[in-house]
Amino acid sequence: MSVFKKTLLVLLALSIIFAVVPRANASSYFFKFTSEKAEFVDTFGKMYALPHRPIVKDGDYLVPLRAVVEAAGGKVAYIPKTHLVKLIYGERYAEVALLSGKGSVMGRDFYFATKPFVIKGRTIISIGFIAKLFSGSVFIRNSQCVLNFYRIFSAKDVLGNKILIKKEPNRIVSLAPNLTEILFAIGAGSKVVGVSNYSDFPKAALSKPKVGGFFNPSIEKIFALNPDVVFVARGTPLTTINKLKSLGIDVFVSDPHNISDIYDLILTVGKITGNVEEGVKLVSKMKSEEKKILESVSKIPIGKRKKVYVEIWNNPKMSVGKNTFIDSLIKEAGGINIAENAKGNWPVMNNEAIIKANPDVIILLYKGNINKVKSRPGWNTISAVKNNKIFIENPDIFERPGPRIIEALKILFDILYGHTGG
Amino acid sequence: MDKKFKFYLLVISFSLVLVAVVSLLFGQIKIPFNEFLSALLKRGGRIHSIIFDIRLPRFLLSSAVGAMLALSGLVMQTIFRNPLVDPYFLGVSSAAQLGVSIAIVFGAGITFFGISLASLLAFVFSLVLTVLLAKISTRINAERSRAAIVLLGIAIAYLLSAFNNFLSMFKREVFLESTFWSLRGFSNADISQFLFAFPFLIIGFLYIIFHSKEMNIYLSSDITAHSLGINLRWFISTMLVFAALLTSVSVVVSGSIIFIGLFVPHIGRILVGDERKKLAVISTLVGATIMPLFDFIARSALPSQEIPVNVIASLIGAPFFIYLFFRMRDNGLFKY
Amino acid sequence: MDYLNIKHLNFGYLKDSFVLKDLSFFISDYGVYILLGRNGSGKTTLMKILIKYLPYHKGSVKINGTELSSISLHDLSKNVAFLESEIPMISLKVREVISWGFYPYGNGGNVKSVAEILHLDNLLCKDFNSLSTGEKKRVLLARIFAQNSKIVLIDEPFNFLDPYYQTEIALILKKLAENRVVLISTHNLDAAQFVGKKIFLLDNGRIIAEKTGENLFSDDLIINIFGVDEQLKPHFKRFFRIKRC
Repeated sequence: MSVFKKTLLVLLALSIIFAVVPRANASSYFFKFTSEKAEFVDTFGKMYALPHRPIVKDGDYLVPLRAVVEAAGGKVAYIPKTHLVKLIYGERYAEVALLSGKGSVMGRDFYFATKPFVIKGRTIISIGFIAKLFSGSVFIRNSQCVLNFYRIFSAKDVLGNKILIKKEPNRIVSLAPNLTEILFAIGAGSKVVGVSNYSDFPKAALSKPKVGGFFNPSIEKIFALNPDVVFVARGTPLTTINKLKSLGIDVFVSDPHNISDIYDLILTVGKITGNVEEGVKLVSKMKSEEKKILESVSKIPIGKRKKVYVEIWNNPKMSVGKNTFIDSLIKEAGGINIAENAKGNWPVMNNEAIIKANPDVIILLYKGNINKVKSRPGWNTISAVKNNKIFIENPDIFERPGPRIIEALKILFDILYGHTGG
Repeated sequence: MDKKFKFYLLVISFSLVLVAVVSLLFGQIKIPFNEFLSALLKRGGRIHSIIFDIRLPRFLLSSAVGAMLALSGLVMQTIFRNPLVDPYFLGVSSAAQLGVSIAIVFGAGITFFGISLASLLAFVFSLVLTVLLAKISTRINAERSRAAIVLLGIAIAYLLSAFNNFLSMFKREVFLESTFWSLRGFSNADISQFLFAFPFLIIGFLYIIFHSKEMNIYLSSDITAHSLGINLRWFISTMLVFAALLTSVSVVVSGSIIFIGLFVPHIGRILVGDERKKLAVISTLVGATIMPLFDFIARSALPSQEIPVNVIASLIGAPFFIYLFFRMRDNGLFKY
Repeated sequence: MDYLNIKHLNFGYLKDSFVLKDLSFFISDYGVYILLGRNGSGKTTLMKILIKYLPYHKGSVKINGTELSSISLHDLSKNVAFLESEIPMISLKVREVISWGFYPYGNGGNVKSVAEILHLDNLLCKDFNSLSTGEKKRVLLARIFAQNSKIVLIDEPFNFLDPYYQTEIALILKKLAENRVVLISTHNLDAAQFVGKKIFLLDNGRIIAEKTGENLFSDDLIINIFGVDEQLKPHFKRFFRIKRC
């Protein structure tokens, strides 16, 4: 055979292998079993008890049926008269007839390599059956077994609405830029089929179909994209959310107020999209970076903490008040927000008050002109102006509660206690 | 009924049907005609859903609102004998926004039986205003009550502005959200809103039609109307109550949509003249046709965005109105 | 029973001022009666009170024997018709305007017969605003005819009309008064003389005299009413060709 034909054969073989052999999806939710312990863990490290150890028999991996299915959020019902076990998981269902040892999933017969049996009143069954019910995949190696599947998501969103997502969403629409960033950061970007107009990060998001603005998206467009779930930030009007729901679309509303809320949001988004592990990894990475910054902050004595004035708009001069996100960032970075006692979340600042407060550092969160700021009347007496510590920063990083928030924290810390600039 | 009226009645009715078909058939998503027909007949399927869950409610609601605003504007222009007044002259929109601002402070997401707190308070506040109007116009004599009502409308508008500014010190959302609320148009139209608004439209329309004679007489002068047995205070107050009610319902379901109430009655007058009964019928129909047309443009002009319907109404309405003004001036027919 | 009986009527727009002071008169027969007085003497005010457009606090006003305050607006409009001195702008058809007389009962068919009385039948389909002043007055009077009330009050019917129309209106008033009480206000002495059965002189808020018919011009009382001071008197007499009896 010619080299060409050989290469073709190899490629063919490889593709068959990849198609047929179930691959463990590294980004999905899993249960990990070991035949040595009567327990298993999930992606988050949470431990679940088992009434009996898993049994390895004739190459098949068997586990207690009810404990595993219910731990995943499924429902198990046993009918004593007929010795039938009925199972429901989200939109999927299955049945096992204990007497005959026959089983079916979604109406199709399931072939048991080893028939299910009962020990001390508990049904022990092949893990492949459970995997089929969960529409997941199994990876067995010696005494270990990993069951990858989409875990049904049930929770309340920030509006108090109960959300129940029964199967892994494959078509996601994001109506807020921070949610788009989160989706891409946890690897769910390929599932995103529509974004709001202002979703401009990461670059890949720019090529996604646009569905409209923040408060006036095109309902028709969203509906036509046939999404499984729409992620929405708190500012989208209730009427839009309700309209989408009335069309049968799942809507998840988020509203993070501080960094810890952002971590929860990332984990939740991961749970909903099925990219659970990625979410967990991202959060732990962000947490460790945050920890480093906090350590550096703690080394700075209280007396040496710097005062910072953050201006989010210049006409009128608006800063950030006590309950805002940015204020909490400033505090974490070890800064003192000169506007923290001003009334309201976005106080309009008084020139004299700023001069009196004498900030050490000024940060403009808009495309401003540093020289114009310097030449404001009376501002030449301000410390930050004298020492040339006026910085223009990207408002997106500071104002979007998303994966780049730690970057904002870092920038803040560097500006306050690190580099020079301006 | 004269020939002119019959002719325009037919033409406008036909246009209404045409606009209805266009509204259902066209939009941001292309629907081929054969699929459109089959979707009309069978249930289920995405096309069916787009037509019946998204476009149909939009058409029905915008049609109803257009009719209500046109009627309300007509009543206003009659009562004040002034061709330049519109439904919002009474301050209804401001009152509703006041309610919305308060709702936002408490948390706009709260719902009672599926109705948002914002819509509820908006309606309540505009009803309070309506009752206030009724009381004023029954207590004082006709001339003074008209002046008092004008002042009331202005006062409410300033009050709202001040209140909004005050509240937004504490919650930035107040200003943003209340503005969004009044600009929202028909983008989230639901059939329940139409079912809420429709009875008001019918009742208002019938009442106005049945009192068109009184309106004709009232137009000539106060004392003529009085001498013919029309109780001016009662007449003015009930008419204004209906105008306020129609406007309130429109504002609650779709925010403040400008211009329609102002210029549809003028269009009606150009077509069929000043007689109130004919004018009311034609204005209602024109309003019912124009509003969905504007909404259609608003939702289809840009590829993935919705232009607020007010923008379309202003872009088309303003130049038209200027043209109207010059035309009327030349004819020396600057009437109400 | 008198058609109109007014006793000691007092009215003032402001608290301490009075337009009508202790005014009394009565009318018990059909015919044209004149309220004669200067501008601002209270003629229009009196009429407005009679149709309940203005309130009165002191005195008694009885229409067909019933006190005005106990007559409903609707009943009043059936018994008393009023025509204001100004001609309003009405952009409706003449037919529509005349049909107002039948309000609140619809009676479109009778519009034609009323129009014929005043020779308006060829104008029925015309726009009211497009008519001449005299024609407009005729249309408004047609409406009064249509109202068919026993008492008719007309404020300054001869205003804005040329002598032709003044004569025409005078004849229409006489026709109206065949079976009605027609009370008109005017300061037009010629017209008053021509058409009036009895003339009530209104001065300083009260009826100071009742006169009948001719030679109003030579009447000293009337000359005094019109406030002729010594400077104006010779001109006044020449203007109105006053003959000394």
